[in-house]
Amino acid sequence: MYSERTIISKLGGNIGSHPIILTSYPVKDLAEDETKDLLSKCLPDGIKVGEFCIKRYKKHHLISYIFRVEKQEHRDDLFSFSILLHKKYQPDNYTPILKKIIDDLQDNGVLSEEILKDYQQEIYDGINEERDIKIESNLIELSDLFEKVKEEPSDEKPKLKGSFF
Amino acid sequence: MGVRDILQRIFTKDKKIVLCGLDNAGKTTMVTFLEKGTFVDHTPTMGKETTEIEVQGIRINIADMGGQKDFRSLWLGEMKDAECVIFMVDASDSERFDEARGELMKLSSIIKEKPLIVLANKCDKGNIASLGEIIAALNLQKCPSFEIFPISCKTGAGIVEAFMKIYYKLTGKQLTKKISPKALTVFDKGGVPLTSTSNEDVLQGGLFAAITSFVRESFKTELSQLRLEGNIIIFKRSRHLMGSIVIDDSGNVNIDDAESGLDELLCHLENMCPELEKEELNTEKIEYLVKQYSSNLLN
Repeated sequence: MYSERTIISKLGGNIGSHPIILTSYPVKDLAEDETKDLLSKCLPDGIKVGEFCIKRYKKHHLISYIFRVEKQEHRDDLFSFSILLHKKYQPDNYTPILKKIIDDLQDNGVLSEEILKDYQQEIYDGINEERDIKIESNLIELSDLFEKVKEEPSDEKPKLKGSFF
Repeated sequence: MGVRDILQRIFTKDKKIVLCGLDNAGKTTMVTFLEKGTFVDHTPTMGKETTEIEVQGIRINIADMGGQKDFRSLWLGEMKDAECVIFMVDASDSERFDEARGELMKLSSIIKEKPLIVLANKCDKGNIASLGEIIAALNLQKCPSFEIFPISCKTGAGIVEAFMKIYYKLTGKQLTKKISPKALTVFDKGGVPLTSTSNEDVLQGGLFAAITSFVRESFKTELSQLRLEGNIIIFKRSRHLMGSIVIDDSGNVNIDDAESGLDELLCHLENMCPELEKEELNTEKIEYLVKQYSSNLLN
């Protein structure tokens, strides 16, 4: 699998928050237009915790998993964890990987904005190398999951329909 | 979809309401309370969430609008085809009343034409503004017509009364409650009464003693109903609590509706009292929650 980028977006639960792209890796500096476009696809209107969202972004699928990060001082933050995946891959196959990463962090009590930012490179590398990810002392076992979802990228050209050609 | 479903959809009318207000006012929490009958903690709403509920033959689409500044420009457009506008304000956050008034003023062209219901949420908290203070702070007296209700989307207080008014504004018809209980009693799982609330003196005399003794006896039997002195008493158990509801034995009451009403109350109490899992019982809290919730059930 090859993911060109991982993106983390957030709508804070605090009063006066705005939807933002928290971090993007490896491309860190995003132009304003690109930020706007990505944000509307990573955190689209009406999206809820636990949902997946698959959108087209240029020549890629943008796959997002929506989750909450608990807060003591105010209501929980809404987050999305997104990957840019080449369009030749079947995006539905990769949604369990996104969910597994977030759910494992949650189950181990280490899901936080800081962890997601600090370990974004490790998550990105782990996804692209199809290996397990180590975050703090927690091992997120992804290799088996990658084996299950492994697929050959499709180079087959779409068949033309209609009688014009 | 079967023929019955198709016919039901044809004869069900659509109505739309727009629910707006500043971020963190509790808008989505209210929608969930209407759907689930209890409090659910939420993350902020991204843009807009649409929920469809059906009440007595009327299909109501609720457009629940995100309250963050970035989404407020969406409110007005959404209201154009709505029959009613609901503006929710956090009654415990008077520091944001000016901001709320500013947003409400931006809607003035619409609220001149459509009914406006203002919901003063979080009335379960201490140190909240009175309705009069909210009316003054939001400049509501300048609105051609509005109604304001104190509610709590956490305890459920006032939600049914407010929704009945919204329903009336949408349809011109009074929404009738499915059940009209005379009394509600909640017991611990051993059958000891924790709190009782009633709108008549029905619990005076022998009835309360009969309920209590029957609850204890019901451990040995599968009985869940008792007819006594022109009343039907229904019993239900949840994981850590028991409840009884007294309704009139007039034959017009649907026992299933009464049972599900009692079930919802017990589910709400279990949800709001996670300490019950640790076998800790906070009688004062249960008493308070029953009182708040029962305002929806008792007349």
